[in-house]
Amino acid sequence: MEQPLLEVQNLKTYFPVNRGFLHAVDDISFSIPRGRTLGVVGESGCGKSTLGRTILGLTPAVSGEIRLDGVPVLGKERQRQPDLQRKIQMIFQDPYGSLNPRMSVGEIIADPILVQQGRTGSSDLERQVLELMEKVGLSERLFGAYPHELDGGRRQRVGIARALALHPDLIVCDEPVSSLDVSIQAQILNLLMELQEKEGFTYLFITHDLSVVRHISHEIVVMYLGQCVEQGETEEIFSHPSHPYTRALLDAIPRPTTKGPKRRPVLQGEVVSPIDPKPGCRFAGRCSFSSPECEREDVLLREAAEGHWVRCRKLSGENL
Amino acid sequence: MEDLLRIENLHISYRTMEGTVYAVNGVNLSVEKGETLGLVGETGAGKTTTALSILNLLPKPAASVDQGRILFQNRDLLAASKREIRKIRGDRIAMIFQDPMTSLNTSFRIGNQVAEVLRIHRKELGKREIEERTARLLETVGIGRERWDDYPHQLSGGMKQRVMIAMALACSPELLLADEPTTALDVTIQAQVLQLMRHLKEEFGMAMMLITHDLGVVAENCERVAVLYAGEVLETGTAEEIFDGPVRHPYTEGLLGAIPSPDHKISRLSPVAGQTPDPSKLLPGCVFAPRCPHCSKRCLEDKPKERQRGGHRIKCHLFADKAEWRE
Amino acid sequence: MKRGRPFRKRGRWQAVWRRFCRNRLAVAGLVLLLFLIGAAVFAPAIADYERVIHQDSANRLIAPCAAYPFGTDAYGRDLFARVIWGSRYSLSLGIGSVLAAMLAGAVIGSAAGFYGGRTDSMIMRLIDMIMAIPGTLLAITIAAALGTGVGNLMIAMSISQIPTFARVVRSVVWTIASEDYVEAAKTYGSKTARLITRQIWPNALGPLIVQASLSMAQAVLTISSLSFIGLGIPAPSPEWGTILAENKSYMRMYGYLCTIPGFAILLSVIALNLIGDGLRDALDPKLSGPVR
Repeated sequence: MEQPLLEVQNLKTYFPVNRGFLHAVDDISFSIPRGRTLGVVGESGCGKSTLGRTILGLTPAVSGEIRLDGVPVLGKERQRQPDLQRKIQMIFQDPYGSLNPRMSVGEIIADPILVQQGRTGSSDLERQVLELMEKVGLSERLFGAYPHELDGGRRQRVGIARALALHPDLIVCDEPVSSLDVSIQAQILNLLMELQEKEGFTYLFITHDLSVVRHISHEIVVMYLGQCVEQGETEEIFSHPSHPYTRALLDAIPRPTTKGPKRRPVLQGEVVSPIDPKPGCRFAGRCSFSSPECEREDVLLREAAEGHWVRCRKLSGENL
Repeated sequence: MEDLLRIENLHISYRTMEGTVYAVNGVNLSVEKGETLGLVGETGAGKTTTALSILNLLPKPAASVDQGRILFQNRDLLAASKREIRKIRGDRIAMIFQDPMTSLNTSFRIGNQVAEVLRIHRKELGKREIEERTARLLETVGIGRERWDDYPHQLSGGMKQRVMIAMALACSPELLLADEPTTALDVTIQAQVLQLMRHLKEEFGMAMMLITHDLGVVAENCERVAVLYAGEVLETGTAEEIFDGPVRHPYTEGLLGAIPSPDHKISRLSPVAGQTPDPSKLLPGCVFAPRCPHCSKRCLEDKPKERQRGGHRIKCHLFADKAEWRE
Repeated sequence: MKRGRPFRKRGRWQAVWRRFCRNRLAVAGLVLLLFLIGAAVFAPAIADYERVIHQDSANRLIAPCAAYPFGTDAYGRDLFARVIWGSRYSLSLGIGSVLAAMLAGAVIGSAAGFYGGRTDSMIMRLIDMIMAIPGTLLAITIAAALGTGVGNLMIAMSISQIPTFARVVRSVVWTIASEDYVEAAKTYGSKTARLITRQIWPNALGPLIVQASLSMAQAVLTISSLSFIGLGIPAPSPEWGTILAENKSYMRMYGYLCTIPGFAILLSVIALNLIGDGLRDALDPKLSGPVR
């Protein structure tokens, strides 16, 4: 079997807080083959952003392993590989906050190249920046423009160009379209998919939006309170959603049609805090199928179908 | 049916350092008693400006209403005095904002904030009655007794939005303006809040103007829909006509084509190309023409007139030659 | 396609300048300040230094007239020349000490704000200790310890102002350091020095400039106060505070001797405060709309 580009094994990221430890990422494992997209879905506070930041090295992990191209890159290993910073890049959610307001579009895109390669010839640098701008669909005349002169969609394109500047292998996209208008969101999604087809980028795509994830991802990890509750091929999960939480998420999406089932069941309750979670299924408090055992014992991920993992006692969908 | 609220030919502009921005350009809308009108559009379409103008909440002096009438039960709100507006605001027309984090006063307990609305608008009520009503309101929106003495920062986003709803409903208004009430919330919480709003609407029999960019939310919660683009209403109709009917405005078509579906896989989305137009320049032709796939010379030169078939109204030259679409 | 210079700086500061110009009071302050600076720079051309120190017992205490626009003092010295030359001390000391304090404060504050944690606590507790002593008092103490003189006064003034700048810079840097664009720069491997100088400082400049202009006003006052009580520029140098001190016993009979230098102090303080307020408004991003 071909070596996956990114392998994450039993990754744990905890934050010390007043009352104990916040289990932001609690034992997550997955791998992404080169040129594919893994979608990480979940609601706010489920740890999906922390997962991305841990892979980028912005947040230290407690335990676990991350390998890029088979080479461990977590903690101390990271410093031994200066090249790593080139290999993993990120696209941020907020197209307003992620661009330095005092730098022009050209400067922003050129900065990673300057940092990694030092002084390159000015004309060569300009050529590289212009190529990147063309790649992401930014007009050449915006070269000297400042972020505040651009709308959200164009800003996000600048953010993408900056991420592409170092020809990374893996791009972590943290909610890259959730603050954009629908038509701009679709433009950016199309751009990301085209770039993947043409240049073979690998994406870790973090989002709260299941529709977006279905559209762009090959595989999915559904997270709830730091844990993975369901994981597998996108089509398999969408055709056989097996965890009650995944189903609730799917049901909660309002469809732009008047013909669908009008009143779907609504998941009650709210996400509890992931600080020193008690044993037992973390979703049990909101789950309409939970039994006393669910709250007592930890539930492990089990394979429901080939490559389709579910963390639920009532494994198969039929007995729900 | 009688119109509860009717907006006629509304024009609003903002004066900024960079020049005049034309935010709303001739909007016509109506909300009937007890119905929910969805106002959809992208950022900068003029949704919030329209809503704020109804309650005279536009930022002065930057914003000015240049033309038009806003009739609430046949009374022109734009001509009403500040005192009259203040009486209507919160009492007969209430508003919920997008961001529940900043719309609540951080230094008051939530029970007290709900009671405050009653103290302002129902001066005749005694202390005991206000307490009773506050308790009933908070119970209605699903906030348990143990939380009434909490401060806003102790509540989650969904809970805060429930408090906002309780405050809006305090005086049983006839019209509720909800500006992106669930945009800041997670999907499962959004579903809860929308469910609550549907129940309450039935219970209180009020009309609602639901402002959102989310077409799904509109389709599932509104009877009628108005599609706003660059300060103009391009299309109005029932939810069925807009989402499941045979014909639509090209812009509405583009919006629908941009949404990925959770129910089936689409290989590529087909969004409208380009960006929304510069709001500091008024176009001579159709506002959507520069991005429209069906754009012709005429679209760039003439403003299309609104044509209708039944209650379905569309502002587009494509419908000019069709006999069943009348001016 | 022609784009002019590739990485040109424009936009933001132009917009700031445009907004500043709309504020009439701020522009008035700027004109006033430029006028005062002009007087300081061209002092030798306006009045010979000889007239500043030349004592002329025949022409004592002459009220303002054509020959002596501001009159003469008890020693027969030309007050006009003294006030003009005095602006050199007040302005250069005010501006110089603030610039020095700003630089030191920027370095200290950046370290505290960027690293946070223990570094931050240690630096800020030290700053708090200094802040506990009123600025003027601190300057007096330092000046008293070092002795009078221009250089010592400058050092005293700078040290007493460092805490203010350190605090402002620290809070601004702390906010900016958590912005996404700084995170982004970290992901592609920017070193700390580059992060601070390239990503953070340009964005921290606004509040810093506002603080600087307000501090300068304060500094001008402090310098005059110190000179007035004899800890600043010693007589017969024509510092405004020194002039005030020299003439205070003649104040009742010859009011102009104190009102004129007092007015000079007042004008420069007002000018700097107006500029500071104008800059604060002009730099406020909430007032700037998007440019399309």
